[in-house]
Amino acid sequence: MKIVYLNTQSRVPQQTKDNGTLYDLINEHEGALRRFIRVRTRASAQEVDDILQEMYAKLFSMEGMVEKTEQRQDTFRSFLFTVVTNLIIDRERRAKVRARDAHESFSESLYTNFENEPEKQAGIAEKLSEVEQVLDTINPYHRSAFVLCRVEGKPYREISDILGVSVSTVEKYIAAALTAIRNKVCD
Amino acid sequence: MTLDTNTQSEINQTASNYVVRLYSGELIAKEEQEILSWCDKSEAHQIAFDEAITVWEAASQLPTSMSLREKLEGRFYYARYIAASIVVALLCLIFFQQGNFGGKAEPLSPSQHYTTAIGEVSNVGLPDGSIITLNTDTAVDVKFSPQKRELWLQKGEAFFDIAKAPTRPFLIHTGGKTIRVVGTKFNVKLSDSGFDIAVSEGIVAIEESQVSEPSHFAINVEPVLLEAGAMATFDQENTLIAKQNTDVVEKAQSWRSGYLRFDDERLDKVIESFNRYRTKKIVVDEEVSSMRISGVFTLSEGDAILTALEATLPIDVQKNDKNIIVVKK
Repeated sequence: MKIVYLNTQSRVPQQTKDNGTLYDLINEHEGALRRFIRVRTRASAQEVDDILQEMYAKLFSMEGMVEKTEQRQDTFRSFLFTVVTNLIIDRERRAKVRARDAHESFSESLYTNFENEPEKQAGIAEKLSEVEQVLDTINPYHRSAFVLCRVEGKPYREISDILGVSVSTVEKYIAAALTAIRNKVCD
Repeated sequence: MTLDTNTQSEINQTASNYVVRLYSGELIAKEEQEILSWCDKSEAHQIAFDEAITVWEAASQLPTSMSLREKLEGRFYYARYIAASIVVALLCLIFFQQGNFGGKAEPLSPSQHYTTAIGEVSNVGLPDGSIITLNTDTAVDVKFSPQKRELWLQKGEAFFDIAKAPTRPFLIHTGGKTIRVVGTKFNVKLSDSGFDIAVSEGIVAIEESQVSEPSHFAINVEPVLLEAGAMATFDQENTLIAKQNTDVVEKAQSWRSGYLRFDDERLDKVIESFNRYRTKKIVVDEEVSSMRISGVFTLSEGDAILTALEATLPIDVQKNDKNIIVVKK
């Protein structure tokens, strides 16, 4: 058997230069991300660092990030916030699972999920159908803005183009829908 | 703002405004201070703020049926709506299965189309938080519909990091099969005869998405369940599953980090892997095709792999305008 080891000094060497660029691109948003994490989680400075560290690790493990950022500067920012939000939700979920029962597996499979946690699943489905019912009754502009934002994942600016109103009006619409849902669901 | 005169509904409205601002990603320092001190002012404020966040984040799991319902002017009772959506789902299923007989299945309503060119690797972030990494020369269509998230892998290879949404399964249609997941990480590589799948996290289920004869329409085939560490090859008739250790599974996904790893692999297989990333293909002469090599190769090195092979194997690399040929020395 012939063995050819190339670049043994580094397993992922070719991205070094590009990673610098990517780092700069993310760095540009770091202030905003830190602020977001602080307000969203009330985390300590140390925890904020941890979450950002996790985010960097996640992004650098993705090939082609540089190309993506260059092609879609506009969506890169919201992509970063999506990644961070998911990391936060994951952390909270892990913390909850640890608190509940270290042994009960938090299975990711649909099948076991339904088997193990039928009430929870039913609960989520029920809540979501409640949300749908609320959305049916509110101002159609509020509903459209909320659905475009939370279901279709569009940034406020794009929604403002679609609905033909200003961004701050879009924010008011979405907030109104959010309040209506919250009032119905969280009582 | 005087707290005493604030009614609960005003508190809730303020919390919503703040959450909407927070997720704009454009908070300014002054707003941060305002929100934090508002939350600190009373427990009711903090609770309202947390609840608004919970509702906000959970809403990404909402089915897209709302936008659909807007277009349907009619007012359904809720029960009738469920009945109607079941009918629609069945129609979709039938359409999909029939569509498959005539060639590739087309999503029913406008879907997002993502592609990569040869040599290109790209990440796609989906609205539900899932991230899909497309390997070289790959095409997918994505459509998020009322009860499910769907993706059609038309060609190539992709790594899926699917966001958890237990009430809204993620379905990947490819090679006549449907891969069903809720939240997990795995790699799918489409080939001429079927596809290979490697699971790095969670569980995935692979089901038949079409039947060979219409008369067998109602036959229910048990799904194949794959757990983390499993690698499987599916073609028209057969299923081959190998339980591997995580090392092997990781190796199959090394492309995501921009390198390829081989362990005592035949030269023709190695070159085949590299050719997927090259426009100018390398041809391996039969005489040397069964030589074996191990190693780590970066994908962006261009012809460096040839230099390395030449240095270590008894081979000769001949280049012409059209392609590159590897022959015995």
